Amino acid sequence: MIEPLRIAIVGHTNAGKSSIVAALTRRDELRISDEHGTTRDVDEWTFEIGGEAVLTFLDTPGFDRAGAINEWLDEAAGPSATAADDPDLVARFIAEADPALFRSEQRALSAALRADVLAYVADATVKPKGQARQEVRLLGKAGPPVIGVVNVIEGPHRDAWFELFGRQKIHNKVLLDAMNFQPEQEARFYRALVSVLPDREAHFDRIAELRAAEEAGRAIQVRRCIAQTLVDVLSFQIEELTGSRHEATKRREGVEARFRSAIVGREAEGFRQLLELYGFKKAGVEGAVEVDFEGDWQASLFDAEVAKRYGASVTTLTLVGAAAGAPFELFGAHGLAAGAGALLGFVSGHYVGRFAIGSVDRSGRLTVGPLESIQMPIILVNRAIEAWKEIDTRSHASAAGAVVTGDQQHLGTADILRLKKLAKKASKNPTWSSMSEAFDAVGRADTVDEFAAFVGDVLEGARTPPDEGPPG
Amino acid sequence: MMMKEAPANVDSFYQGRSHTAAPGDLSYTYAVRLTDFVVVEFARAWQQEHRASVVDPEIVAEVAADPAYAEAADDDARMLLYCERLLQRRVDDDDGPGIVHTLQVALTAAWWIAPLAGLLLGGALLEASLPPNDVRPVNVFVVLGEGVLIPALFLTLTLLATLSGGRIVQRLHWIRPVLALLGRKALSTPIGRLGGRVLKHSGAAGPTLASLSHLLWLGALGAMLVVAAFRFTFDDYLFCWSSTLPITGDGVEQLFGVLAAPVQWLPGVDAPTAEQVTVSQYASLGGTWPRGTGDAVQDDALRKAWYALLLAVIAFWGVLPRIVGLVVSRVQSARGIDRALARSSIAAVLPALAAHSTLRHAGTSEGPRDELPPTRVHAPAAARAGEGLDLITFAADAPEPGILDRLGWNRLGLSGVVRAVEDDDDAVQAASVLESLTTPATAPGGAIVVFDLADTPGRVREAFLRDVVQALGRSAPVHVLLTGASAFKMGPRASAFAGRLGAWRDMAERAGVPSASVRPDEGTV
Repeated sequence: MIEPLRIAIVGHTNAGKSSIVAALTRRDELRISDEHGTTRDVDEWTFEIGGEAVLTFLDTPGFDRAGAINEWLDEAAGPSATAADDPDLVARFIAEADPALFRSEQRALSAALRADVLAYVADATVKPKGQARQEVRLLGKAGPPVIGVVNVIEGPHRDAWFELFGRQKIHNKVLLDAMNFQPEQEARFYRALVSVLPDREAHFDRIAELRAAEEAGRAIQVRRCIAQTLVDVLSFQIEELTGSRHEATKRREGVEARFRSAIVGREAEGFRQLLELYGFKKAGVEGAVEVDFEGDWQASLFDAEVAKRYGASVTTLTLVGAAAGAPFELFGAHGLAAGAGALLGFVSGHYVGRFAIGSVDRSGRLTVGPLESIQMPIILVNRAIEAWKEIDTRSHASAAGAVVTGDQQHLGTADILRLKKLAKKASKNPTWSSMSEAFDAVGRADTVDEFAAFVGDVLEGARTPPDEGPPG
Repeated sequence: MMMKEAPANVDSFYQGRSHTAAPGDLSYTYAVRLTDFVVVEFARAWQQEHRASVVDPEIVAEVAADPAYAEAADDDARMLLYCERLLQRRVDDDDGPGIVHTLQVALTAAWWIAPLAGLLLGGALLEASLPPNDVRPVNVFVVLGEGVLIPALFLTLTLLATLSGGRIVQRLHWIRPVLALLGRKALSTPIGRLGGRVLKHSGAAGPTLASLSHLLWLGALGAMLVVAAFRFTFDDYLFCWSSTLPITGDGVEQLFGVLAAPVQWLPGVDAPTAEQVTVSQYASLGGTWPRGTGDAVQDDALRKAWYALLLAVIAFWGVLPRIVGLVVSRVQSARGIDRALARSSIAAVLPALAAHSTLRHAGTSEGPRDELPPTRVHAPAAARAGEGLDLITFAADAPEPGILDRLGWNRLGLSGVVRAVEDDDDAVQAASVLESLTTPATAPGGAIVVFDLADTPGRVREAFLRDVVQALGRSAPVHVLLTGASAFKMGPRASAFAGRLGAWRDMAERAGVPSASVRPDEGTV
């Protein structure tokens, strides 16, 4: 166990301090808003990894009148005052200055005095001005070492902020993006902290160790989560004995709708489980994130157009059929071979996009599912990968819904063949689905492992390469 | 500062006017009529609505350089010149300048329509009361009623309405929502609103109503006199008196004696004698009607005596009070307009015009007028106290050229002066700028304060904006321009644009600037 390090996150109002804390602690319940002065008091957030408290973030109200505070301190400092007296002067300011004018600054400085290190957050979308210089100067008087955190990587004024930090003797600075927070940014942040707290290097080594263990554990959980979802969905089927073919036919539409609803619900549940694995609010809690799809993945799982996108279109298969029949024309088929090929292709293309999920036999048995269509497992896996990518790279500071906009095909031919084999296996065992009344958890264990291994390989290939860090 | 608070300076402006007007003083030049006041009121309302500088330096310079300015009869005429030029140069078609012309035409038409309607009314009334001359004699009381009694009754009503009830009439604009409630939208139209404001602010609503009444009755009585003279001259009328009231011959004699007293000096006009009254009684005519008394000489005397007397009585007791009333109401109207002009915020333009005129004369003394550099007229004039809006940048870049044009803020009357607080921690520079806003020699008529949209509208900026508003006075127009809007919208925080703009508007409201006066410079990159 290690003693948590106290990091005061300080800066101008609306610079993104709470967002940075939310991203670093992976807690999406922080109050984050573009409204001026959202944080009015000092909030303490303990960052635990694997149940072990490693860091305490002090999220402070923003500075707004640092210039006036520096004036106060300059006036209060006697002619013989030295830099060593500065923290005492700051403490005097906290105790004596008019709270009506400086309440939020007094609270922020109070937190700064009891922190081990200060992280000054600057908004790179805003040009650094006089008040910013005053803030950095003021924090230099508080005592603890200061690192500069420039929020928003694409901000047009990040270089100006780096320059300001340089001028103010803050040589340890880091470029983060609270709204697009990546593990590499977190590592950079810790490196910057180590550079000002060299005697606490072991602390950060421990954090890195815990983080690596946590990541590894989560990767396994993610694979199993997706694998379980796939097995649940691909093995699910509904079977009803109605007594007559007529009755079965009559009830078929309703049962198919129930089946589709169950599949869609299970997929959504899988996404919610993924969100929870990454520390986002549990479903049902106010502000909980839902995964929405845009683009090619947005349509329902059962939209034929989506299926065709990843199967084959009528036109394509018609042309393929015609081309296949063409060589036979050389043997005098008088167009019949090409025509038959085209017809075959047309029929295939027409049916390939359909999900024939229900069937009725002569005895009146109505069977809906499993999802035997060649496209469905591919679509499910692609959607899961896209959702995982969104969740994996999603910042806890983001207040917006998780919108999946990617439409990339992540599966190669080998992957598809492997998936097809696994899907076929699952579809033959309806009891492997947790949605089945006769759910057989033990029986499906090996298959879930196989799916998990497949998912792990696919996710590894789909992972977005890390960014290269700040320029220069 | 002295020039932007027009109401507080009414007296000083009043004293400074070319005709030192005081209550009871009738030495008005009537240079600005009600139809002209429409222009002034429209210009005032436009400036108020757009929160423009009352003293527009560019317009002032143009007007002062206009030869018509030197020929203007008085300050009212100079204000009118300024307002006309303001409308011409600053008011877009969308702002509805056409309603000014429409209202002017409507007011002018009213001055013609009233007497013309009176003519028709008077002619019709008399024609209706005169019987064919071979049926029965004319009852002198009927002529007296139509020519004196009814006009006197309406004159009393007019006086009551315009004197004792004048204030109510002047508040006619309040009738607008009432009419709107009734489903009559006439006064909800721009012209209705302008008309209401003109009535409200001109101080001429009562006198105008009285003038229209006088004109109507002058037209009516004029028509009566002409028609009566024509008919009595060419038709062989006999006159009698008859009444359902218990009136005796003595009473009639006394009544006409009184009525004739002021006009007896006219040739042929005499008060009726007792004998005339006796023989003119309708009952005494007996069966001799319509041929008369049987004595041709007596009949002729009776005719002529009544005919001349009745015309003279109508002229004196009917027409003369209306003429006096018309003159008085016109004087009252002119005084009302004159006072309204003195109270109008636009009066603040007079010292500026005078100063520019002096400057211009100084320039012309060195050479002919034509040699003045043309840019003197078109460029914003040198900064003077109270003239135009200053541009104040606070830790923000000055807006790109053309931005103010695109926002339409070039119409607000810019002074051309740019004051800058370079950095948001520069309290000394901020104090210096604020001091320049309160120093009489440099105080502008308002300000456009420029901030950087990307900055959070925190307490430092709010305090500065509040100080600017307080320094200029609550009535002075202050606008906020937020630079860098396009860059913000294209940047990584684009989704926060609406929230940020809203935060700026909230802050401006707290500081005393209406949120509608906070605009982003959408065109900049």
